[in-house]
Amino acid sequence: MGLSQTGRYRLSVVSRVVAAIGGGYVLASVATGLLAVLLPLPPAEAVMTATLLSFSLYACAVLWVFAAGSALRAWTGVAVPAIVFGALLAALRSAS
Amino acid sequence: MKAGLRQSMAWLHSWSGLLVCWVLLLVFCAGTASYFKDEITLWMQPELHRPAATPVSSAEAASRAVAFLQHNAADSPRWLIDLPDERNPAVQVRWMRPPGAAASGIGGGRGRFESRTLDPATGAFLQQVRDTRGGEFLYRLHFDLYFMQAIWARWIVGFCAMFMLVAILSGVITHRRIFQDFFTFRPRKGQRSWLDAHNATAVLALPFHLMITYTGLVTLMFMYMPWGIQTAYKGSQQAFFNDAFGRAPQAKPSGQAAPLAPVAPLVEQAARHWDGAQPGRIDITLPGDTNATIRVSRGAGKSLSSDEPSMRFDGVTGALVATVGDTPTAASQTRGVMVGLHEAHFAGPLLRALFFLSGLAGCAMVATGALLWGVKTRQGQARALAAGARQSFGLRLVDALNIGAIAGLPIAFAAYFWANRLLPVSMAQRPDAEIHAFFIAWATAAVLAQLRPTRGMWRAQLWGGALMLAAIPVLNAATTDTHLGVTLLQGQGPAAVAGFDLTVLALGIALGAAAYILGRRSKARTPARRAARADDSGLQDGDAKGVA
Amino acid sequence: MNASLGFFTALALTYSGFTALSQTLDRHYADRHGRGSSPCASERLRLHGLGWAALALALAACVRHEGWPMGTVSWLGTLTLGALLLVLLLSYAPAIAVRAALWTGALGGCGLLVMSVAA
Repeated sequence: MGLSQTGRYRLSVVSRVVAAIGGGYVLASVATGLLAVLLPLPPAEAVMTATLLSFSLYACAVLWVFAAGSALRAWTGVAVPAIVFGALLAALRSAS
Repeated sequence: MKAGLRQSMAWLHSWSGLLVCWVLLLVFCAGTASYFKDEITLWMQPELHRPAATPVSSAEAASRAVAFLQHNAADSPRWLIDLPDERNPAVQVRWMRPPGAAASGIGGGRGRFESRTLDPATGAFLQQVRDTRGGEFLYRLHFDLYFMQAIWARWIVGFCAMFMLVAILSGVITHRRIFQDFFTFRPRKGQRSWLDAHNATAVLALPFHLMITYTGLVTLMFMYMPWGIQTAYKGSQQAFFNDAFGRAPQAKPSGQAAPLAPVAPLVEQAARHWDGAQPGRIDITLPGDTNATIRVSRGAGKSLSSDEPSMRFDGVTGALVATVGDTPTAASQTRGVMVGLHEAHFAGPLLRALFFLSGLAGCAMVATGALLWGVKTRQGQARALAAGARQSFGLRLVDALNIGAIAGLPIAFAAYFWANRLLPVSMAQRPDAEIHAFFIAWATAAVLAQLRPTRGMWRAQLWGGALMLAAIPVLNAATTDTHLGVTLLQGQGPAAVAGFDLTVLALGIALGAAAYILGRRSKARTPARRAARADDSGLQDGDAKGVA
Repeated sequence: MNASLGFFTALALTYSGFTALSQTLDRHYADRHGRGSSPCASERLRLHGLGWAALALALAACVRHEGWPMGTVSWLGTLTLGALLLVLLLSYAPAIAVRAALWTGALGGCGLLVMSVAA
């Protein structure tokens, strides 16, 4: 099945949009959740700090997705950290 | 997307900006107006323009308000009292409707609260004051929107705010010569002028735009990003808020009646604790029950942070239970300052005017951005259009939306103020009627724009908005006796009312100037050009220079 | 009186500062001195110094009047207003823009003196 040039382009755009909006949110959420338990601060402080920072992380993820050389690199840049943070979080959860 | 960071960021900037610009324009216009929401509310209540004969202490105003509430809302589980301050001469009380009670329609409050405006000296409901939501409507509009539940609106606005944040950051990255072009504005050069205007309004108020967008997200950050609470507090929002903000656990009614402790001494005690700073709000839960609590919060003052310290008292004995917020933690303080910067409660008149100016720059930034997209796209289609093809669906849609939003919103705002002066003072559901005037005017403008998104429609709506706004001071003179002749020329004030009249006049004149300039450009076109109908819609200048 | 003094001093200094900085750019130097002209190296250095100094003094005026937190916020707002005024003047009346900056600089200086002397 051969997609035309425009077809491939459009698919690439859609893929990036999903990575940015959806993937970016997931990444920011997982990072926030992880920071909230990792930061060496009282829990309320840690949650507050992590949440305050979350939007800048989300914005940076979106910028990355559209600056990346290919849709694949875009996804990798978002998915890999998200998976790593998620795994760390799961590990911490089961440990406590 | 393509080669180069600047190009990909330019693409991202255009799309993240365009897709949400009309919602953002509403948010910016309503939000900018909200800086003066108290003044707007005062202008919309002419019956309050003459100050009370005797100024009254906070303690006394509080007692009177409590007496009113005990008489009119005895079975409500929660009372809120907003005490008067420099910008607000009257007492505002709100109470949660007891379950099963029907909404009265007075006060225009949506949701579960009733609200009334009271005379601070007597505690009497100011029935002769026309019922209006005033500036509060505009304030709520910019994050709760309307015609939908608040939670959906906040998600929509938050979504748009993230788009805006991305648009700002990508815009800065893609702006090749941000320093060299810092002061650049080249008028009468078509697309280049629109770009210059967009750049100027964006860059010259960049700290404000970045701040207002990020802090806007922060005000609702626990809703948008609850995952920290999820992991650190096992999802218990209640536990987190108690920890972070010193909130009392939700009190349950005991069912046993007990008289409420007198409020006046508590207010005085609080003022002493805060070295004379006056209390602003009193929050009473379960009045008349043995589990009642009274929380007194400090009024907006000189601190950048929006988190005002508060003192919690037992509702029956009046004993102090807790003082909250005297020494906030670093993160808490940061959040408080961020929310505080967004709301700008701390701002005195001059600083507030600067915030307002920056907000206007934000409106102009969004508007010029949307217009620039239209101009560029029209240019791209110029050859096809000249050959007789129709403009693309997207271009027509953007043109129509631009007219409906950029020219239509001023009409809507003006209609709201016109309704305030023209609707009968004692009509039922008056606040809702004023608000409907806003939306009916806006819908009319938007629909007309969709039907004929032409240059003529631009001029018609710009002139319409200009005349409606500029005529408000005249309307004010015809319907009240606190018009500019009195408030300004005789210097009797209130200053806020004069300020409002002058501001809408200035905005009307600005819109009129835009409409006039647009008209002159139309006339300057050659007949041959007009015949070709190459530029029948939207705004476009004859010179087609390259992309700046 | 005090509020206005702080505000107008800061605004005057901001306007002057931005004007000086604008004159380090070829485009705006040419607006004033004719097409094609550009400032020489020493003049550019001098204008840079004056410009940034004026902006810093504007910050000082704001902070003196309102303390650090509010003063910084006021300063940022004043920067916006000063820059906007300059952009409009440079576009429509460049010669006036620069001449005005000399006056506002002097007035701003006087304002600062008054503020530092008054308790």
